[in-house]
Amino acid sequence: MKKDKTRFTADRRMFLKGAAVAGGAAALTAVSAAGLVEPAAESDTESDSGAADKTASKGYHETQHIKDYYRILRS
Amino acid sequence: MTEQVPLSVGPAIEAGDAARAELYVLLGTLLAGPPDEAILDMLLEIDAGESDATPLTAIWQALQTAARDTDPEQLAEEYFNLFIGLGRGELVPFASFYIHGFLMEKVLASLRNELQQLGFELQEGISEPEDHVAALCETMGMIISESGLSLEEQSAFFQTYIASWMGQFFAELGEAQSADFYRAVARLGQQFLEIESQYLSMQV
Repeated sequence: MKKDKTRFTADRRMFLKGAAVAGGAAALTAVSAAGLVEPAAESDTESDSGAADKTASKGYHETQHIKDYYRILRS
Repeated sequence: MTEQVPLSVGPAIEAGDAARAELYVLLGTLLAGPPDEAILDMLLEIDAGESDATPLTAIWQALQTAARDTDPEQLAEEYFNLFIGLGRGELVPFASFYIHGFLMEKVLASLRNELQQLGFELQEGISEPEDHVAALCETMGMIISESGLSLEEQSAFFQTYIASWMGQFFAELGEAQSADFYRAVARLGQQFLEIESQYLSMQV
């Protein structure tokens, strides 16, 4: 993976405020989606650690959903 | 401004969701304007993976070939012919146009309401309405990475504002006479929307 080398600069034309941050690692997406680099171990552990994280964060940890996603990608 | 954005999304988002968000924003970037040298270089740096790794692999490779075979000047012309044109481009990249047949129709009003509730705002200087294909791709990326909306809520937004027309848009983009580089973008968009559609339909 060449993720360390790749940067997405913020001088692109973007429509929405904040979108550059959401897409900051666009190259990582490409790597994940194309090469299907499944971040299994680390994510599983994190997700299993409980519901507290879920409520405390504005994101979410739903590992099963992500597993579903990778399964679809492989199909 | 050429400030570099760090390689991270929200702190609490799993890698698969970050990947989804980023791919939406990448599509948004490619559709918001003609890619410059930096974006073309970024596309070329992507490790597309083994040839049969996923349905997206061949599509990434085609996009890289297309990026290698073009340059910003050609892309500016291609983008103009496709989306702007003299009078209008070959395609009209707005949800309202695909859903209602006209610009600035009901779907735009409803989208603006959603965006307001989400706290998302257009950048200053953007004159296109929020239902532009690039804006909607960015919005979906931000919903995944920034909003904390559940998958059910993501699915509802996706069905109403993306699945309802964007597949057709990408199909037409893939066939457009002026499209060359953007044929590869269209294939990526189409395949990604299919994956998203399957994924989100499993969650509701």
